[in-house]
Amino acid sequence: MRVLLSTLLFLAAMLLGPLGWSAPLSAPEGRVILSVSGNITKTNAPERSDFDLAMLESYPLYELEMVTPWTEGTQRFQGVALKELLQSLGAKGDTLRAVALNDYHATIDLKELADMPVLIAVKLNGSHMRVRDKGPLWIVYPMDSFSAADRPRHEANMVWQLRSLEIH
Amino acid sequence: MPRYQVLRVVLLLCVVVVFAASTLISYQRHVETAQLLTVTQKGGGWAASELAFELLRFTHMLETVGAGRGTADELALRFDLLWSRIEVLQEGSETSEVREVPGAVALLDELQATLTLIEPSVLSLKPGEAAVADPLVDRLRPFEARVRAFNVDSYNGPEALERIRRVFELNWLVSVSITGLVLSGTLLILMLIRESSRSRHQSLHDELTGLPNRKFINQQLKSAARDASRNGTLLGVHVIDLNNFKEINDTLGHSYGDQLLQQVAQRLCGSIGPNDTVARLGGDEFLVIQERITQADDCTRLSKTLCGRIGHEMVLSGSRVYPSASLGVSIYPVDADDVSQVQINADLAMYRAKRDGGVSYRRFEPEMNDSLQRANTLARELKTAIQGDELSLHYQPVVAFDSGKIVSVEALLRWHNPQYGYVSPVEVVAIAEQYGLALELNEWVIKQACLQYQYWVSLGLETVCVAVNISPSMYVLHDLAASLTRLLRETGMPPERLIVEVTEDTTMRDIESSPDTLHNLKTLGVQIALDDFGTGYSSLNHLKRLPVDKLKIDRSFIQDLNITPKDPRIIRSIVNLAESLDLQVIAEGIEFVQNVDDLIAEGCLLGQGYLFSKAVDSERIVEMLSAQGQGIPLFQLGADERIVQRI
Repeated sequence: MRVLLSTLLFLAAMLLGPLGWSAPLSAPEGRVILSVSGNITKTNAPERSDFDLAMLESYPLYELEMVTPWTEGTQRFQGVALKELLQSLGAKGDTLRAVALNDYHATIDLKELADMPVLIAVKLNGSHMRVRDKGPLWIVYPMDSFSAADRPRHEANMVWQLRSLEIH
Repeated sequence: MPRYQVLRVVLLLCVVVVFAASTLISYQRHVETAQLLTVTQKGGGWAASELAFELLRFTHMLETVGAGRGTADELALRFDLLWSRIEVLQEGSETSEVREVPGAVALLDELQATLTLIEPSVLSLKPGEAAVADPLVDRLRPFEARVRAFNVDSYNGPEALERIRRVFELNWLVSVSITGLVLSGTLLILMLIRESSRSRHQSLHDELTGLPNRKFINQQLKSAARDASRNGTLLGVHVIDLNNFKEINDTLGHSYGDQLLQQVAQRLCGSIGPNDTVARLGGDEFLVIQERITQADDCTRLSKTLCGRIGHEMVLSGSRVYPSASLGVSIYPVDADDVSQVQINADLAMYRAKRDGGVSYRRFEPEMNDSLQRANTLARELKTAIQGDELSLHYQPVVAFDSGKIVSVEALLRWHNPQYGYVSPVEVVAIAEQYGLALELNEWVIKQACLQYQYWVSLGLETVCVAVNISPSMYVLHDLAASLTRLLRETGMPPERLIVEVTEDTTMRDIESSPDTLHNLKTLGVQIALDDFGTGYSSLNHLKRLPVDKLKIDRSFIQDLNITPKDPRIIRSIVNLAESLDLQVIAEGIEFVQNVDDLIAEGCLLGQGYLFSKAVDSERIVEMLSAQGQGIPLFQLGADERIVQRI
């Protein structure tokens, strides 16, 4: 039910469109935890946009609850809608390459994002995540809304310890 | 092929195709699933290899920082990544299989404990402090080999291999069961097809002789008639019925009867041409369809051949039998436009052949239909005749010889049909019995007789008893007593003035099974007379047991008095018998005055016949009764001559 609610919120936010992100991107003040590069129009560093935690948390935050194969029990994620983040950077492309701190990477089909509330989670169960807790950023898909057959494919895309995104 | 049959075949084909397709698809899916399973089996191994990798990268980073080349941040990141790797293996469903590898949990716990222990030293390590870094590397070095071993075990250890082996084993089992399913399904379909064709054959053929049965031949007749109409040819229908088959069955036994039927079937099959069909209609009745003939003579020739072949001597389990058959033949479209009418015609001709004797086969003639048609027409019109009072009752007086007076009248049925004219009471009763009109007819007769009596009463006449004839089925199928009770009440008729005449030959057999019937009638107060006495089936025992009041001596015995030498012995015996049982005797069919003398001599004092009066209508009987009331008897015994009154 809460997944549904947050999905609705997410969809509503998408309909309302980008809310005043036409302002130039500010520079990160804290430690950079996410870098977005590739086909984007807004940058705050050479050919890329760097984000610290505060910048990410300035976006509207959404919530997803689910059971994952790597944790015990139901987990509550809070984070930025990936789609909104990309829109705010004027990102255009077909695929998104998400790379983790340990150089794990996954390729996400951007078309799929259109009707799927995918988050870049900044909080797990109300707390920021350390690297040890698969943080500080974790791409999460609404796992509970997928069929058993679809899950493995999306699970591979749920990159934890996310460090960078590349738009192609 | 009829449409429903095409539909059935198409449906069957669809079922087979769906069955085959779904079997194939499920087999393919199954193989695919098994392959997928063996691939994802490796998924758990990923996390284990990542641990080994992260451990190597961390120790390498320790050495690098110890040598003064890396930064503390990089070291902390590697430390955290290693840490998170351990936790990934410690929880969650994806790595649950890896944890089942023997010693895995202990190894992970030990490694985590070690990391907890060295955490302060790692986080406070400054680049170039090799003295601090090296011992840390040494503490972790032993884990490298163990993690490597764990990694290999989880990837292709005995459990994993066992699981893969099991998957293939299951795969094989499922393949075998699918093969079994296909085989049994195919077998089932084949059996179904065979069963249905067999039951179809059974439903259209006679079990004993293997010949087509009535159902089959009805279809065959229709299609043969269509062919004949199209080709302008004739179609002969022969109906064959064995003579005395029942006797053979009864005397030799049913197995002989069955053998006889089988041999007759063989003989019939051996006598027909390639365009002809033999069928068994049931019992000892066979039918032959003769197709594509051009002359009626072809038909009668075959009839003759068939009868001749059947009539040959036959040996049944050692007994010699000479079978014979009656055959009727009718030709389509010569004898009728409708092939089922042709079959009825052939049937009629067969019955005629059987009845006439001497000839074994008859060709249908239109007159044969007439009697049947007459019965049908009369039956149809009898119903309206009863309801419309088209019938009438005539009355024949019964006279006391000494006084010459009328003592009672017998009511007799008259029907004048517009088409067939006068219809005899025997035929009317037979038709009423056959077509289920007996109750209506008998009630009508009783009611009319009672009304007639009441009519005399209303005229102030000297009344006499009225006798009515009751047909046999009234005793068996219907409640005669109830009908009488109601009719007597409705008409106000005094019961003792009504005489019920029971016809001896037809009715006694039925009454024997329910002797209460007559007693019930007697309880109502009506009189009972036994009609046609001496001709039919009755034992003296009946006379004693049944509540009979009168015996009517059959006319044949009276006629015996008219031939010389006279033989009054039977009349004498009946009169004596009646006297001893205290019954009244009435002679029927008196035509001559001499009969009266002879009867008086034998002690019979009552009689009816043309000598006194034939049956007359209501008006005439009223005249007779009123004359009698004025002292003029119908008949007088004179001193020298007998005078019969003719009013």
